Amino acid sequence: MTTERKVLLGFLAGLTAMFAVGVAAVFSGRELLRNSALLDHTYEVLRTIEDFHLRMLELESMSRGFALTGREAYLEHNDDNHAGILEDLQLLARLTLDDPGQQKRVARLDPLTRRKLDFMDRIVSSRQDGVAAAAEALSTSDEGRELMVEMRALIGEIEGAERALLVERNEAANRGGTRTLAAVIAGWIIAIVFAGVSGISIQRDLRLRRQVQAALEQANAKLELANSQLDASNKQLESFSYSVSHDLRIPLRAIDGYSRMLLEDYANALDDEGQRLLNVVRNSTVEMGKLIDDLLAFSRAGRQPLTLEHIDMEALMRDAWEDVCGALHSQAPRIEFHALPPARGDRATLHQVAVNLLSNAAKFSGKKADARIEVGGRRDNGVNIYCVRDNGCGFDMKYVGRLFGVFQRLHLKEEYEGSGVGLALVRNVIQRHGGRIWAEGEVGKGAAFFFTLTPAE
Amino acid sequence: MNEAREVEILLVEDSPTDAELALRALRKQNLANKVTLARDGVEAVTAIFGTDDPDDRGSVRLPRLILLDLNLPRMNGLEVLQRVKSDPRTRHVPVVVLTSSQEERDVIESYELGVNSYIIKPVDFDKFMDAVGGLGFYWLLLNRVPRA
Repeated sequence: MTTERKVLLGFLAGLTAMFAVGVAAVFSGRELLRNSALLDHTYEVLRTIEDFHLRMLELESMSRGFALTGREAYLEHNDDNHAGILEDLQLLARLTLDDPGQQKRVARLDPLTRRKLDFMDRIVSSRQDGVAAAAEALSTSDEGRELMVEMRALIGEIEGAERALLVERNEAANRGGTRTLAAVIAGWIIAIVFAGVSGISIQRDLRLRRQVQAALEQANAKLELANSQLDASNKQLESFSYSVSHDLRIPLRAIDGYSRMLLEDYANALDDEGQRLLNVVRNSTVEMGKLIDDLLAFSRAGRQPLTLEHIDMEALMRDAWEDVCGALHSQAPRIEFHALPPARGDRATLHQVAVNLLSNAAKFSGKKADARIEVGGRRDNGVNIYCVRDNGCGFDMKYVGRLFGVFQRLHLKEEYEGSGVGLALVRNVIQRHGGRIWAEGEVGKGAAFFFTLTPAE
Repeated sequence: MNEAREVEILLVEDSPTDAELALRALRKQNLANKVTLARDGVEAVTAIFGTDDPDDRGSVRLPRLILLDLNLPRMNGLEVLQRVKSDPRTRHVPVVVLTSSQEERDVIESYELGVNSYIIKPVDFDKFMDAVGGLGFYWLLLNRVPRA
């Protein structure tokens, strides 16, 4: 995964987690509100039942007080309480609509209350009728007490049920709060984990990237160093071949020149043998001059940058053959050119290749009466294969490995002249073109040289 | 060196054997009595400008032909060529590079600096004689240059 994708994914995951936390918070907040409304409701029920109970107690004790003493002051709040009790009862009936259990209890409470209120009205009115009547009413106060006991039990039940509900709702509210907290914390943890994981992953990516970049820079620096070393050694080689080409010729020319001067100016002083010896010196200098030239050509061909272009190989071969014929001392062999596929290569160095191969063919077939050279080529498996074949003296395949080495010769100098550089140069050029070169030969029958080049587009 | 026109050929050559061979070739053309030899670039420049200081504008001695080797001690032949061809007083003097160097870049650079001819010294004595004698004959007897 790319770093950019990781950044995006990490960001999205974090955002999603945050969003989830928000939703969870809203939901649990709403639940909390609902819970607290329910709690309020329960508290109201409790408050009402308590009010009911207190008013009932007050009403009873006031009614009894009046019945005993006849003092009107006891009746001061009776009407209030009477009405309040009935209101409380109504309120309770309304408040417990959502709770069938409580509803039943309230329903049971209702007749009890009315009877109790009746009873207390009776006590009060009995006193107003006279002391004796009050005494009698009070004597039946057992009925009132029993009613009260029953009511108290019922009130206790209602309170108990409501308190149980309170506990339950409190717990539910707590659970909801805990859940919300858990959801928020979980959301945080998830967001932090996502952020952490993507952060670490991105960090690792960046570190890897830095490492790769550093490695690349190092490799570049190495390459630059190698390049500059190559440049330096190339320059060294160049100056070496320059001084070879320049300085080595001076003594050579002196040897040849002074031998010649000796021959010219002191011809009379030298007998035939003396003159022959001097001529050997001179021939050797010529040979050495050629060696130097070949070696320099070889080194130049190896250093010269290649300029790749479309090459008409047939025209190139024919041109080269003209050059070869121009330099031949003997009669040129018969030659046959087949159609050659065009190649992609460097004109100057490939010309040298053609010259070397053709002059070799001419040289090694030159002693035969029916000397023949054949130049052919074809396209095969995406490469061009070219062939220069002669029916000359050939070579022993045992020594084919030495054929392309510098200064390697398979023939005596007396038989065939040459420095042994020509085929080394050919191989060098072909290999620099990315091609292969190989040879087939048989002693006395001839030789064939094959090389491959990239086809022209 | 006396007067400017007496220097007919300035031969710039550090190798005594090459110098002797060149003199022999010129002698065969009856040109050897008019040759001044400079053994490096500094001697060559001094022979022409009277000094090797490029800023010194004294009188110049004009040879009719300069035969110039390239690989020379102290100051090389290309620098001598550059001095001669960039000075309006000497740039008409024919300069023939006569060197062993077959390096293409030497040939190119010489022509860019305005050389009149570039000859690679043959190793073979006969060819050397022909080349040097021939170019002396050509440049001194056949060729015409504007008379300063």
